[in-house]
Amino acid sequence: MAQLLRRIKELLGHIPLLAYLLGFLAATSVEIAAGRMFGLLIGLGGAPAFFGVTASFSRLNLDSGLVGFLLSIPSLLHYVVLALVYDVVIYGLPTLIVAGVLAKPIRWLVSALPEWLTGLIHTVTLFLSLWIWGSLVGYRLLVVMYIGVNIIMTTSLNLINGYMGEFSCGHAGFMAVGAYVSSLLTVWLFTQDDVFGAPALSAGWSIILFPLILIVGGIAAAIIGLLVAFPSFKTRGDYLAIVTISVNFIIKSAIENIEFIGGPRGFMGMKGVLKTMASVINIPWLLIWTFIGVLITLAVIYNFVSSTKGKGVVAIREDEIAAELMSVNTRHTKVLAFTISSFFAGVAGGLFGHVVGYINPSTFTIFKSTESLVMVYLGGMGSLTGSVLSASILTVAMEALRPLEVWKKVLIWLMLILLMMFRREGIMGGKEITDFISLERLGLRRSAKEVKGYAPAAD
Amino acid sequence: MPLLQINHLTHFFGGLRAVHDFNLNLEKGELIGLIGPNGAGKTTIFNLITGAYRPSQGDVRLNGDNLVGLRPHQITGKGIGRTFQTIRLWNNLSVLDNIRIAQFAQIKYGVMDSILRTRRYQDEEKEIKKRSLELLEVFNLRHLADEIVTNLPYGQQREVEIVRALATKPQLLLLDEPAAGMNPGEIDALLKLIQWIRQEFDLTIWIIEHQMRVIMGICERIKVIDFGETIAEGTPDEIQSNPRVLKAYLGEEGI
Amino acid sequence: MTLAFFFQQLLNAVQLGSIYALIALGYTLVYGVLLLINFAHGDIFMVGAFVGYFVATFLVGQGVGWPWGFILTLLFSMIFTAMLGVGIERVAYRPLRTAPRLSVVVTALGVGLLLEHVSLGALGASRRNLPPLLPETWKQPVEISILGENLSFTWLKVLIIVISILLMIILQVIVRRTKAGMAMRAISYDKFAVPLMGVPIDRIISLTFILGSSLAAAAGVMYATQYPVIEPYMGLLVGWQAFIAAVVGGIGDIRGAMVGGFILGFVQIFVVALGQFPALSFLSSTYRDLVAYALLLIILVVRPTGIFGVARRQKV
Repeated sequence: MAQLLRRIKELLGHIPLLAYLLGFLAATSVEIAAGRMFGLLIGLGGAPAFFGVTASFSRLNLDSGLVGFLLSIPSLLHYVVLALVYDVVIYGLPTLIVAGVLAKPIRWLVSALPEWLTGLIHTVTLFLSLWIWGSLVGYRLLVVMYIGVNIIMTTSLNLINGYMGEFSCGHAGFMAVGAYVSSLLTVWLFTQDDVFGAPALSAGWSIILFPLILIVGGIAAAIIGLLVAFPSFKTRGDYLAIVTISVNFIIKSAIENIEFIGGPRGFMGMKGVLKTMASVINIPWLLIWTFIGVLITLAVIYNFVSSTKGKGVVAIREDEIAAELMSVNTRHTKVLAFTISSFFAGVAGGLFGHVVGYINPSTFTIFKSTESLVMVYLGGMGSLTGSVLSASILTVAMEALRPLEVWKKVLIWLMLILLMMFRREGIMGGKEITDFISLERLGLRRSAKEVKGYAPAAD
Repeated sequence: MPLLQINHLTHFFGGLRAVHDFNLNLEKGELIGLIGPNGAGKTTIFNLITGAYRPSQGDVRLNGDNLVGLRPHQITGKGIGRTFQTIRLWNNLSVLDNIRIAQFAQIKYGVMDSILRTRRYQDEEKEIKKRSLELLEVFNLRHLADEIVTNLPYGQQREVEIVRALATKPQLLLLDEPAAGMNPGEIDALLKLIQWIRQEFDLTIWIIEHQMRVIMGICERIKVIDFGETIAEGTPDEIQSNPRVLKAYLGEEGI
Repeated sequence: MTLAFFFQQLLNAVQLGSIYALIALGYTLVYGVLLLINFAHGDIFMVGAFVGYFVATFLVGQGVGWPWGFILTLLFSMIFTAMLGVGIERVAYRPLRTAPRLSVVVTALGVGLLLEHVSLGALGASRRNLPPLLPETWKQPVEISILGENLSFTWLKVLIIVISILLMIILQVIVRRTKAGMAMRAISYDKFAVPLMGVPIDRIISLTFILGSSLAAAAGVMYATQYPVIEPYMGLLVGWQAFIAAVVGGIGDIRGAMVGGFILGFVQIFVVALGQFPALSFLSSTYRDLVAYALLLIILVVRPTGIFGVARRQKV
């Protein structure tokens, strides 16, 4: 039995990533054709919204006390089993079959093409799978974009808390700045609303200016981030936690006191912006920008921390005084790290504002900051793969646990505490996925022998 | 002009006077030692020179340039490298990374270059890596380049610390108790190493040590301090027979 | 600004300040001994108020009146909350005593949020009112005439101030005159040497939590009598402010907690009071939070260790 499992694992391990992606696309087609029917057939009442994960907990009964709760557990389990069947039949089998068939041709393709083209094909395929699969059920795209926003938040926070080893606990504050700045600008420029009146620019501009406005939101957040960076020179550890928490509160409190933009009641109108953009060219703009945002964030942060200059950040974590004495300009590096981190938090905020369509100050309290904290520590400090994984898992988990309402948060904080006690390193523990699976095996890079005319470079 | 000039260096920690009126003229190419009982203020002097503390009073000049008030990374950039009494490597990083990071001040590319992976960035990074591996090669440590430093035995960690200090391209090398925890055989090897790098890298070297074997073995000149005050100065032979030194140094290892 | 107005605000400031001081003491005691910012402490304050609510409801239902209703509520709340505090220390903080700072800080945050959400889940978000434990007359303004001006105050405010000061004096006596208190102060200087001297460090730490939590509970009950609304988010509203007070005063120093508490009380009350002037009319009570945090930031930038704090030197 163990032999068989090992054989299977080996086989699966050698299928390139692109084959899996195409397999998933095939599965999506199966779902389009037969998903609803099959779901009805096995008693799920249709195609489940998100692999059955997000709907399962709604099977629990929380309104009739402890007994009612316990009695509803079999119903939950029943649903889980059905969902698993659905997932295996509709997703699992088509994906594996198609992936297995395409494995060899894909490998050949990867070895024949230049690397940048392979990377591009992967990116486009991934985007298409998310789009097509997501469009089947509206809720899916929402969750996918939430995941994207959270990935950006988590990786940007990881730069400070993970790579640099500091205690920044107010990330939601920067998100708030970006959210408000971007949303105010887009609503003012591109929609008719109560606060600003008629749109200031014609619809055509929205396509071009949207990403720029996101950047402006990021810059605004970065400026605030700079203000936090300076006290960080004199304070360490707990004190920095206090400073960042305070900044978080101040930002929230300040926004609440600005009546013009809605104060505590919040601000809305971003859905109108999306409509305007869709009226020019009807493609899922927000999904596109979220996807691009995630890619850019990952690329920037990865490029930065793997450079020698960026490693100064980790040196600060390991031994700040030694770093300073070994010629690392620690102040400069800290300021840089805070700026980059808060910039991306601001971008995430801008995207978030448009995903949800409505923002108010109480969204961006310390609770939200702790969500990001959990994601960073769950994924593992100093691991980008970890952050991506944990952001995805936790976003889905939080959606799934929504029926539990308040207890959802209890579970999450409980998990954080247990994490700290039993597995401080998180999922990835500071390593990246490439430490376990080589890029060659994934089919993202050509191995030496595959490239014709390869001459081993002098090291 | 002397490479390093220290005039009337004095430092207080609150009400405690740690260093009192320390003076030194260090010529280029010299190899000198600083000895004294525990707590005499030796490491404090290194810390004052390198900028970890700002001196309460006094003057420190490197090639005539004033160092007091500069940030430590700037002082290192001007040409002073050091090792520490207790090893202060960056533990969870590889040996190679430890050496690379020490070249921070020599980096000319900017952040945007690193993010966009420009030609300039790639060329410089290649240089840095090459330089780091060459340095490690010189010390026979190249095969350990990808090892995490905490996995290395103590002796090799000490060597890595010296390589790291050399990576900062110093004119003056400050070694704080480089022979700590070593047996006589290792010490002899260390002495040869120090002589060699002095030659090879054209260095001026200043050592803090307890072990007489090291001091007497290679130092040309020695300063002795106790309770922050200079109590003797001279050649190894002169110091050896100085009664004040012997009195202060009770319980010291003999040669 | 009349003398009467000034006097009223002064009284408010002292009262608010004493409540902050009581809570701030809890933060400072724990920090002094464990070098841990007990983020859960604000929620301990909230629990204290809630326990007070349940006890008071029970007692009033049984027909227990003034003064025993109030005294028993106060005592019982203090005892129960002290046990909760010790429990938290045992379960969440003790296992992490040798863990890196990060884990402890994050756990402390988590415990605080956990407390809040458990309360929310178990008790709902609806606000409650403390049943009347004091005779109504204590809440009515009393007028006295000094130097020709009519000054008014309420006995309740005076009671709160008096009880707070009494508790602070008792704390000072414990800390300065008893062996246990001396051990507490010793631990804050050197955590490792103290057990080697034969001091039962675990018990002393438990004592610290008992003291801190009971003070917070007392503050909770008194706060609930003055501003009768109790809700699970109280810890966030009031507890955090007290935390700021502790930091401003210099966390780890008992004088700092007290001084910080009163400073914060004064600053908040008087800044809002300035809103009476037409030029500064934008200063409403919603600015209280902003003021508190701005004060904190200023202190942290100018003097990070707070007024009485001592910088811990890092050896190079």
